[in-house]
Amino acid sequence: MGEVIVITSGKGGVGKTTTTANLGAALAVAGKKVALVDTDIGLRNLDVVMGLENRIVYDLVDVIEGKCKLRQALIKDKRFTDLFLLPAAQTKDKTAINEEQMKSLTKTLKAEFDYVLIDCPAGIEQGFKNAICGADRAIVVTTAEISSIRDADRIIGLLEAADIKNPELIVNRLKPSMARRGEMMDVDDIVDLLSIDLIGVVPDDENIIIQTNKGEPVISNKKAPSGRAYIEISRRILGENIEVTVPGKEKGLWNKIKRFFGKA
Amino acid sequence: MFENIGSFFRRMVKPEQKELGSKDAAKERLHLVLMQDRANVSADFLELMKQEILDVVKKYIIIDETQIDVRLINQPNEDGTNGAPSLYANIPIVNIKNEMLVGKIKGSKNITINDITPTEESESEETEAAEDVERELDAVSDEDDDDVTFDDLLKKAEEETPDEEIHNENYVSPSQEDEDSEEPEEQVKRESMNKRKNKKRN
Repeated sequence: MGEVIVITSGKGGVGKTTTTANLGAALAVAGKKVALVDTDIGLRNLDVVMGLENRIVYDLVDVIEGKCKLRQALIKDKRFTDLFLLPAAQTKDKTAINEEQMKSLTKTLKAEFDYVLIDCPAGIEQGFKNAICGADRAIVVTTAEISSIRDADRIIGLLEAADIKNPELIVNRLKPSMARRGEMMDVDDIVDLLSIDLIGVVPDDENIIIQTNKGEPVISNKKAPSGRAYIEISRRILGENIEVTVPGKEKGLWNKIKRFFGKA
Repeated sequence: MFENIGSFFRRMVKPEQKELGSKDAAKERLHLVLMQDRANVSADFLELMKQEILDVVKKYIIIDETQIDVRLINQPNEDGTNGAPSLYANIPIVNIKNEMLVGKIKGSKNITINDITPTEESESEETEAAEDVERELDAVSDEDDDDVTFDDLLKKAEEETPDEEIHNENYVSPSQEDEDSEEPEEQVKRESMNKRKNKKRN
């Protein structure tokens, strides 16, 4: 029996889809059988981020409406063993499915996969409700911006109301140099305000755009700091008890020297 | 890199200088907004309440309107969990309008209202205090608000107390100087005073 994890944020554009794609890939690299479900019906993007847009035949709504079998709609990622994508429909809207249908779908997926990652749409309407209803666990993504933290707080409240206990936090796109100058809230401030457990911090990284342009997850680039952060998060999802690396606060003399010369 | 070297030397020159980035502003604003979101209180509601409180206070006291801080806070429980939300108001006083109050709030610069729910105990206090106020009001009712004499009195009061923030724990009503009364009761008294004075004026 696998685990269903919803990746959500409230605000749009904070990196839910990128996070879903990279965590999925990292978990698959770790040898797990992973299914990614894009629930952003009408605005699907997980397929392009993963570079699988040309292989879509059936989608989430087709499966729910019984137009095809689940197995037919799942796209296998050729670069990673046991990584599958269930894309969202692009021509329908969020009301095309309901919570009951999602629950039964996640239940079926859970029986077959170790991890089911659900990419949640922005907002708190039907799409959000669909995405979270079958989840065992939630990861809330936020940036260090005031608007996204506020929305994250709202989402945390809604998750707890929906009985998804102990959501975990990813602080995305952190700019260590700005945080050091006191021009950006640092991780401690955000964790303090939201008072939930931190599962990882992803630094702002140009490699994300470069890799997404190519339709490849950033974890494939061994030099990308964001990729390393995603791998670390995946290890924590798997239950490893490792300390969260905060960009700009890495330990060790070498990192201090690097920071001094503006390299980190 | 040059930026780093620059800031390194700057830090050497002024080692004790505190970082004052936009982060603190963001934190403070977020804190407020989250509190309102969590308590499900709209900003309009708080603004309306704040305005009404200030209107009453302004009748008697000249306040610094740019420095007013009225908000909902979560008083933490003893075990560190979030407790019931309470109303916090910090209203810096520039000057006091009525000479009657001068003796009472000697040099007091800040009013802190934490809990304005009167208890049974404080209700009796309230009437007592109100009677005191009434007596005093009778005494001064013939006089108009004479700003000159008042200012003089205030200066005197300020000279007596050094320039520092004194909260109204220090405020002792002359009729009960020997009693050690607690802060919430003092606030209730002040409230009742205001009510009474309103009546008199109108």
